[in-house]
Amino acid sequence: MIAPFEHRELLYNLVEREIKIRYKQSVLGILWVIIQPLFMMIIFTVVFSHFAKIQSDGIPYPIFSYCALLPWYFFSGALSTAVPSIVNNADLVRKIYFPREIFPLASILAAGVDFLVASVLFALMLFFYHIGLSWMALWVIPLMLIQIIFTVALALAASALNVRFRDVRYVFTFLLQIWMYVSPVIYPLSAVPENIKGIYILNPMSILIDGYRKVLLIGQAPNLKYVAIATLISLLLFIFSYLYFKKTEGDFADII
Amino acid sequence: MNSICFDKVGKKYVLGERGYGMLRDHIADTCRLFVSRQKDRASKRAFWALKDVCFELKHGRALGIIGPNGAGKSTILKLLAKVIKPTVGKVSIVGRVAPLIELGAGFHPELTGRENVYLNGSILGMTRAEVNRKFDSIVAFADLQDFIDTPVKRYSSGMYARLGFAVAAHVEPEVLLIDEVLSVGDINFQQKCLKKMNDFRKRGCTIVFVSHNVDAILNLCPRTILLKKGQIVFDGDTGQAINRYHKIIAGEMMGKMQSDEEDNNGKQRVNIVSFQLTNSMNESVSMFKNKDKAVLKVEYCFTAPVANTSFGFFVRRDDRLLIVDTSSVDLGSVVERCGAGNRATVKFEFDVNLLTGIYYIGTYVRDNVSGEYYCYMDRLVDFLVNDDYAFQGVADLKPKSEVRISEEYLE
Repeated sequence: MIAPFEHRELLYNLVEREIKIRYKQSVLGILWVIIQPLFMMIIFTVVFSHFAKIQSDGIPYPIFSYCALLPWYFFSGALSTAVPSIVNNADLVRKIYFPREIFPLASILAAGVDFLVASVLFALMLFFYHIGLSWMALWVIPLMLIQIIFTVALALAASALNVRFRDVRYVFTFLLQIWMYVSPVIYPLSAVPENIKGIYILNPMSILIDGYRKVLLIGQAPNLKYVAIATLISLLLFIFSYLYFKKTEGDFADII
Repeated sequence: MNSICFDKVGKKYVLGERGYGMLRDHIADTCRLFVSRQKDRASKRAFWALKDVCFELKHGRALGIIGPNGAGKSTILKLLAKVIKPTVGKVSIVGRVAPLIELGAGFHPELTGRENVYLNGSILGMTRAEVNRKFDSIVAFADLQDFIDTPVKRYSSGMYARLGFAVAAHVEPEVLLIDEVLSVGDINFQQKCLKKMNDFRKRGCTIVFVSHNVDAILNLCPRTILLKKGQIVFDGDTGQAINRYHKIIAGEMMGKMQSDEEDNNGKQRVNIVSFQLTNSMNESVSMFKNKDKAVLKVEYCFTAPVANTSFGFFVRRDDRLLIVDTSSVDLGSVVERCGAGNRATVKFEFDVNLLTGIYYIGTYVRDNVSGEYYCYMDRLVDFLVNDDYAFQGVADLKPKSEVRISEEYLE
């Protein structure tokens, strides 16, 4: 993974391109990044808090759901652009060589920029609900690091696989929709029945979302055993994906 | 020091195989494989785009690559650009490679010219500081000062290509790969590109140049590789390579002509059986000096009778500029009638009063009265003229000059 660092200028330019072209000829521009999770939060609050009366561990439901929607949109936004990224740049892949992982990485970084912008709203909400951050909030850094490793791992494998099978991107669109419901975005992790928890926590996003809520909104340390599981799964997947990506990379130009 | 080395390189493609496809098809195929127990699908055929290609190129040299369509020229460039991997053998390159393969490949239509210069610059391996430094020069070279802040989707294709070349030309590569770039832009821009490439060469840049424009290759590369069906058939002096290239092309055209005849049997009343281009010493050559005489002998075979037969021949420069078009009748040999089965051997002789360049000869047979054509061969044979004159142009008009300088000073 040294190559992307050597090509960091290119990476930076591709991220810039991705962000720029997304909001060219749009009036609201970057504001769309906040509008999407904001409206989801409002809908979730109305439907799940007022109608369905889902419990939210004593936290006001809007910030409870936004705290999950924010990293969730980073995850799903990054994957939905990273998976088709190599195919979308077929012209470049066929003509010029540079490490191909630059494409999915650029998509993930661009989604990261969106995430940072949308985080501003989260900060305002913390202020609005008088939730003070404790030192535990620093846990966000390692948790986010695990999330990034997990995202990169999935993006590498899926974007390489998508070069051969164009179905992969459609599978992912579909998969991400289901994935949100099997992660504790709408409901708390505590609402998950104990008998399926063993399987439930094999999804690193479950552990991470629960972790973010604990360290930011409650001021508790995350469940260390769970975090260790998420780290292990992410790292193993990353190693496998990276090796797979590097193995198939040389054939991209031939089959794209 | 070698800059480029190809060691027994081969590149195989499998025809009929889906490069990408639907997972469904893949699963279906796998099932079928189980049912029928056939290991190979009938549609799978191996095709070697390159086979056993070996060559080396020293640092700072220019190499041309020519060959008919599908000979593997672009495959070599792609291997050099490291975009694809060889199936067998080894490709090694030393130094920063800049591919000029299809200009503006990295352009995004929504971005402005300025934004695309930075993006494309970094794709080609330039740093931001480097682009900053060269930005004005790039824009000036492309001659797009007024449009640089316009999205490139509003550019004409010429503007697009100009900006693409301008960026690539500022990369300062150690190895430059050029694929048919001179076909873009107007004459002025083409001249500019050629000049820039010559500058690169003088600066010690290694150049690999693929083109159908043999004049441009002759201009830039002393050495040329001729490819045919994925294999090197000639490697050496560019003039000789071009000669052999034209022989291949002419051979293919002869083959095509014969199959055309089969298509419209009956209409074609005259076939060309053989031809030979020689000098005045009766040696078969395809390279002439300007004082030489050229003799073309063509043997025609008549499958149907033709009255008032006129055998025509013409000479054109490589870019189709017509130099002379004349016929046996014009030159005083009148043939009233040729019957079916007759053979005619016609000798055309002319002085090669031409300047350095590539030319070709064509021939036709027609009825001089009705004007109907019975045979037309546009590019029968190519020849090269190579002389030491400093003149530019087509014909040697035997110019003379006299300069007189007056001693008196006129007020």
